[in-house]
Amino acid sequence: MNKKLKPGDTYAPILTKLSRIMRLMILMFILGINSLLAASGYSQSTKISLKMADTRVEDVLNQIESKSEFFFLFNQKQIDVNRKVSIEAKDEKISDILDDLFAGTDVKHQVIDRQIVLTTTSVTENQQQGKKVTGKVSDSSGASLPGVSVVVKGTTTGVITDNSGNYALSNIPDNATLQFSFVGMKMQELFVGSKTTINITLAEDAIGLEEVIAIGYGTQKKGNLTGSIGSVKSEELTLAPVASTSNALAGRLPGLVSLQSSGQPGSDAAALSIRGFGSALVIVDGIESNFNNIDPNQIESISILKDGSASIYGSRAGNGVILITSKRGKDQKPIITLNSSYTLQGITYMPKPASAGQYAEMEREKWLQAGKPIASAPFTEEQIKKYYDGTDPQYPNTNWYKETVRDWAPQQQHNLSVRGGSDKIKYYGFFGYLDQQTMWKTNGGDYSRYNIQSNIDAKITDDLSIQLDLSSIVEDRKFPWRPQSSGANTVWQDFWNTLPIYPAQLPDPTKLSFANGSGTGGVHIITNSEIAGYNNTANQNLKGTFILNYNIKPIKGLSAKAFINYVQDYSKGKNFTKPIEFYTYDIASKKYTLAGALGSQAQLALSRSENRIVTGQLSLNYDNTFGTDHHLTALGLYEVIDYKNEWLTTGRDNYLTTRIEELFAGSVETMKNNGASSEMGRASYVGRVNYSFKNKYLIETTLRADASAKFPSDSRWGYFPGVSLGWRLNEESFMKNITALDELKVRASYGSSGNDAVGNFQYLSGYRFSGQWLIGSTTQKGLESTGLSNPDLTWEKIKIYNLGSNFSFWKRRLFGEADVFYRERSGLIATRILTLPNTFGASLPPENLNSINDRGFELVLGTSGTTRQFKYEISGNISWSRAKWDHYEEPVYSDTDQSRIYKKSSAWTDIQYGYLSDGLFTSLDEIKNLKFNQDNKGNVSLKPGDIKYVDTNNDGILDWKDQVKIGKGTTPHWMVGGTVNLKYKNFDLSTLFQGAFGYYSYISLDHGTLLVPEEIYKLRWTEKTNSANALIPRLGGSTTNSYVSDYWYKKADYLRLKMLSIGYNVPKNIITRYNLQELRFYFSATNLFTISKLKNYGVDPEAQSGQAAYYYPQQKTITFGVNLSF
Amino acid sequence: MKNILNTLLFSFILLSSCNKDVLDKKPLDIITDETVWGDKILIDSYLAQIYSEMYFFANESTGSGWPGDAWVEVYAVNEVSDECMPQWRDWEEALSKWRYKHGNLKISGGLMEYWGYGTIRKINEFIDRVPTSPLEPEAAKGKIAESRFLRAFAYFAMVKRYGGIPLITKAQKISDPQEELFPVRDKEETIYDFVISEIDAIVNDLPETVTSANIGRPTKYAALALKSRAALYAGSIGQFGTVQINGIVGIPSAKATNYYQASYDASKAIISSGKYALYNLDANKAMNFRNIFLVKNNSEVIFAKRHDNVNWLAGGNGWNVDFWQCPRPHAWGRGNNDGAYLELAEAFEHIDGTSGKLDKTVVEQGLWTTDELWANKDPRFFGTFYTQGTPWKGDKLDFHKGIRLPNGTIQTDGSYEGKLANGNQDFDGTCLGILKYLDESHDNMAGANSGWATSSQDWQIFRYAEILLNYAEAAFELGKTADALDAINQIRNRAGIATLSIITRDKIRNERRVELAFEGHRYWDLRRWRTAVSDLSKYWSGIRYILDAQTGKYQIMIVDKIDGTTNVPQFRPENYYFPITLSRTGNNPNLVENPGYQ
Repeated sequence: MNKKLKPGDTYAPILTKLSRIMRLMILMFILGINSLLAASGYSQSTKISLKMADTRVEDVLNQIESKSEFFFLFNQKQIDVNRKVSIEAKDEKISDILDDLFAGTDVKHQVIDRQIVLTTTSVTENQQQGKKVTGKVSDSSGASLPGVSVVVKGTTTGVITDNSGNYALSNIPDNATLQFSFVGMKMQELFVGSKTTINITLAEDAIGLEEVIAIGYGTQKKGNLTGSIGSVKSEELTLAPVASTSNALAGRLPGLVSLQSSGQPGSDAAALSIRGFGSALVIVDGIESNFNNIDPNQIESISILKDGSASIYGSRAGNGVILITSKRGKDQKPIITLNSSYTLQGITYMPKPASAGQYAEMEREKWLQAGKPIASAPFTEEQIKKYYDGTDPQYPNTNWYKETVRDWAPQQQHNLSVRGGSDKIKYYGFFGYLDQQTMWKTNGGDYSRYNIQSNIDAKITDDLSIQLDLSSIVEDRKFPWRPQSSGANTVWQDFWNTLPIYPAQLPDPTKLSFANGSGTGGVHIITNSEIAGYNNTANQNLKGTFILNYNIKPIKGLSAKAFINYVQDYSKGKNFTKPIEFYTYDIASKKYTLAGALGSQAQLALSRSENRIVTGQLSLNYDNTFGTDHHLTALGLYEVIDYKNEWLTTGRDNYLTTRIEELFAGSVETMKNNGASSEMGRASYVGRVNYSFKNKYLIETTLRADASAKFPSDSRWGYFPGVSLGWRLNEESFMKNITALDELKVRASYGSSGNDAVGNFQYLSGYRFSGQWLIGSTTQKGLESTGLSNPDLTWEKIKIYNLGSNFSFWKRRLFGEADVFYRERSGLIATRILTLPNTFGASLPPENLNSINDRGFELVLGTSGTTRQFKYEISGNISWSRAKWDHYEEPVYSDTDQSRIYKKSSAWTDIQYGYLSDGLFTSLDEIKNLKFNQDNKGNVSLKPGDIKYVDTNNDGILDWKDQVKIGKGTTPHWMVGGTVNLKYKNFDLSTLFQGAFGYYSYISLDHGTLLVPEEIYKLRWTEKTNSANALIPRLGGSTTNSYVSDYWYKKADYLRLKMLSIGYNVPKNIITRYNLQELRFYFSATNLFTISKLKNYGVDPEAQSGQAAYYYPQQKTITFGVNLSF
Repeated sequence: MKNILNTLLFSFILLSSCNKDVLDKKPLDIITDETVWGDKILIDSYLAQIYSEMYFFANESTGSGWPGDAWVEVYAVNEVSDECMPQWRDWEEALSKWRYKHGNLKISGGLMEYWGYGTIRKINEFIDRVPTSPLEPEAAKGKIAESRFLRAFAYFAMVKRYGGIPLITKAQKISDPQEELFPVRDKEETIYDFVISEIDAIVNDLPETVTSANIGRPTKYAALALKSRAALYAGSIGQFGTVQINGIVGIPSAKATNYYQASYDASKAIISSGKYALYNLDANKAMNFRNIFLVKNNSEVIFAKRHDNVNWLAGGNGWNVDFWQCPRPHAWGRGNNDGAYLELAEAFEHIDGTSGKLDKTVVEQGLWTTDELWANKDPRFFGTFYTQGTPWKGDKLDFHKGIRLPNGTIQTDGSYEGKLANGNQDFDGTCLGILKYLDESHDNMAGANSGWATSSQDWQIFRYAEILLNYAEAAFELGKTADALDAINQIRNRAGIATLSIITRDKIRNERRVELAFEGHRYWDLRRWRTAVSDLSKYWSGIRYILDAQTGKYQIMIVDKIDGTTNVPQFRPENYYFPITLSRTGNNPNLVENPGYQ
């Protein structure tokens, strides 16, 4: 199998890929056959063979356990398991073997399901005769609880409650204590005493210590976590429907930094980073994927691994890991759930366009204030008056915002799921649909999505179970062809260049009105895909996972797992642009003038891309308890991931007609196409050992060996260890007396991991086609070197230290979690170009040079409680993080100012330097008396209304040396979140406040120099008001006004009501009549209101810095919805 | 038990063998070093890349934004001179040039930069590797000569910007000594000497002519033309400039004559080769002048950057002259990117050789037809500019702004008696567009994102007229006035205007200004003559046409300070050299900054 390739050898890639998959298949097959063989004979009358001489009874019992599905329950004090016996059985029933084994003793055996209970009839060691205890276990609502484990404390004697919650235990002495435990419930202990019937109600485990949390390659009980791991459950994600799951996470988890910088349907996901580290690795059901296109209703839980607990993901884990687990079937009768919601989306904040009068006034004002000749000023006073007046049709006043933007754009979301199963087979099926329309009024496009999922768990035999998960996500993005993203050459540039002084329509409806719009004619044209053409993208994500899980019986607690996953992403793009001519019109002469055109002929561009990832995992799991105190789990895992990507583009121009939008109809001379492909791969070995002593002292160690094809073979492998410790103080006997204490745990962790996001194959050098040049009549392709290579290139190395604590008092009247961390990142990719002159002529290869350290803390505090009708939970979280350059590859600055301003080493990574402003000049005297040369021209360009700066070094001239720190970066340092969840009778109310602090945004409303936003009109300095505090300096002012300064670089702190949800559950007595399980109506809203200073500019605080008004604005939403299950 | 363990063991071994397949991946889009240097075609591709990085070939355009002449950077050199101004000033791209002209050439630099050491490294490597490549010795010699020509050109492009710069003629290694890796600036004259000596060394290795498949590669005469231009620059810097910072900028005046002589000799070699002639095929002199720039590979072309009509973005070699400089209608409702100053139009004499300057008081008093206004102008005027009434695509261009009513008032919007108050061209600019290089048949209504770089006219890097002008100038400065007079009269004769009998420095310079307008010469000429401080620190004007409703003639207004500001354009003495810039001096402390920048 291990084929060696010499350089220059070629082979068909498909064959080797196939063979890799084949290998995995063969492997699964072998595993499967083995397990089937091992388990095929099972039945109540299982027959086994044994031959053991001079063996302890216990070993015999162990041997029987390992050869069958049975396990034994007995009291060691009653049964002498150290007795030596010899036994030989050939294909005998177990009951017969046991009869032989205990012949001559008083030991009786009784088969209950798969447990064999050994009891004695005699009383030994002065113990009194045991009795039979029966009872029923139920939950707080009175429903019976099957599957509860009932154990006599200090023994292995015990049973599990049956389907109606009943249990029966024999031979229980009066002085025994019974322990009742069940996942999600608080463990309870009861002294037996004289009772023979013990019915018990188990309380829900409010602290959630028994709750199972997804961790890397497995799960862990919340109470036993030693790492800093946050988690969110499905119910919280679906309170208010959002299209992108990331937006449901903002504010919910401490240490999660989120910034939603766009409201564009299909692209409105918030940028998430754990502790401000940068983009995290996202794992969905074991596979690296995107999670924003998953319907939140599909998700069971989300965990974020913030510290060394992420180390198990090795070279990709340095920025933390987000783990998504989707819902699975349950051993219950099928429940069908239907969720349906209708949402209205409106813009949070966006500047509005000025009126024609305001626009004309500003243009003239700007011209004159710039000192340009009055004769050629763009508008006369009289014209401005007419624009304001609005009665003369020659002077229209068009509100393009009203013409093209709708106040509320609809969104709908529906999903249907079914969840159920038996102990043999469990299933979860989901179908979801989302449609999110854009803000544009006419043919503005939409984003729609279908989510389909089927998760099946099947128990093939008692030792072998399989899991088969299939899912598909189909996304359609349909937009007008002009990019909706941000910045120049987008629809936003067109929007703000569409002038109010042009009419919305012309008398001849077949002629489009020209309104400038930076060459596109105007926003009314370019946002209408029927007129201007469209840019549609369809994505399809297919994912299939097959898992085999096999219990290796000879070793108790050992199981093996094989996992194979196949992901295929297809993307299809179709971009059709139509030619448009637009006109101006003179009313008096009824003359149309052709003002311009957008495209002379239609063009079509098509793209196809295909992304394939195959992941295979093979693992061994061990989980065993020794005695009552020692719990050991271990994991050994091998993983390979194979990536392949291919893309292709093609297109034609010069379509004779716009009616045929197919490739064949374009002109043959204009055919073009392009394409490429790439490959990548990873292999890893993962190991983890968890040990807990008396559930008090917890230790977890992990080690991952990771190799990536991105790196040269010598530096390909990396080893990432991690260790974490936990101490559950509340389990200590000396703390048991403190009744107020529910939980108190302290944790410490260290982990090392990496970041391999450095581009593929940077270590190789060679040539690529780059430029082109015409010689004769032939275009020659240029060959460019890919640069000097660095054969030592490897990933960034990251170490993270974390200290934390979880606590809860007075039955969660006060609970919380606190964490502090410190992270060191070294080997960040940088090139030495900064220290080698560019006369060298080549970019030096990327090297692992820079280093950063991060620090921060997180704190959650909350309170909750329940009375008969009223349930509340209020919690708040706050986190802070910030990074400092430890080493930054940069020149040695000899100049003190250069060093102060430019030097990055040992400085915070996000300091903004700029000039200090001191309001606006309000008089010529003030300028005359200025003690320094602000504009480098003796201040002749300055006038009242210009920004006044501070000559911070008092050297008489304003130059770059006067720059000082004017703020921090554009990503928040402080994140806060607060939730209030209330339940009263059948009503529920949830609110989520979210805020971010300690970051800045560069505010500029006029991109280019057209003066369209009304905010500029309102906020600008004018001669009349002559305010030193106006937010916009005088129009046409000095060029010094555009300096980077604190005048424009503003604090963007905000607090917003991120989510509000009010629900009503139709009472059970009504819905049960219709065989319904649940019927809930709700109203919810997102981004309902915001507290932010940037509102003064009409700018949303989450706007991308420097792109105010130049991007798809964030949306607030209002939703009406219904949840129905039956 | 044993079975299971065996299975597991076997499985792990099986899977581990996957490692190699998964991890030993190769990039699918990189060609190895051995392949490139072992293949003649790929070696040519390597050289093609070097050409493609020489953005300055096309009117000194830079590689910022889109490379070369696909983008508007190609007009920057005209816009910062006294030839024209950018008119789309609601647009940052244009605004930056306009600001630059108004004193914004500071230590941060930023416009028209060419710090071509990346390309020079590639050439150095090429020169190093070609001898051991599979190329036949004769072919290798030709390729090396070709690449040395390109390297000399790149150094000339740098020295005329920055003055003396480090001269690097081998591909450096990281392990090279620090003093080589951190070079000091060589003297300005060292670089000029290098350019000239390189040409002398290779001139006989370059072909006399190229085959049609090789048009676009340099001939012997392209190299001589480079020498003619470079030596002329060095001569005038010696004559008019000042030596500063130990000769890193400036050339000793004593050396001026030698350089003039070198230029004179090179020009003379081209002239006497008889391979080139002034284009003179059309009877209509204005059309003849236009055709110099439209007819590919005509008798005047010595070296050109070839273009085809395929957009650069689509992998072609088109450029943007038509889309940017055309009159309206235009796809973006714009066109007319640059407005030529009236002063330049006035520099065009009349056919009889009299001054072309308009008498403001006379012109502004009467009513004029355009024929009357521009009567007897140098035919090159009509081949260089478009303005009110210029025939275009079967129509006449209309720049008029405002309509004069019978009562004498001027109506500036709407219409009067069915006549629109304003024309459809950019009437708020100088009202003089640039016709040179424009192809009337080009469709300028092409799409907003494509089609804007689809002009196929070749850009003439060296044309014969320049050689005559170089020759005249060098001859004049060497005192050979007869040679100078003869060369200038050849130009004037072809243009269709009266020849001169007496030659002066001013006459030569004005002829150069007129003949070579918008060809990227003026800015550098004013710098090397050291007249830019006065010539580029003043206001310029434009023209307005107001339609007289009754006569259909035009009232003329000469608009002063047409740049639209009270701030006078500014060229400071230090601007004779670009700044090295803080980033480059910070990068290599051994580089001294040019005088006057701080």
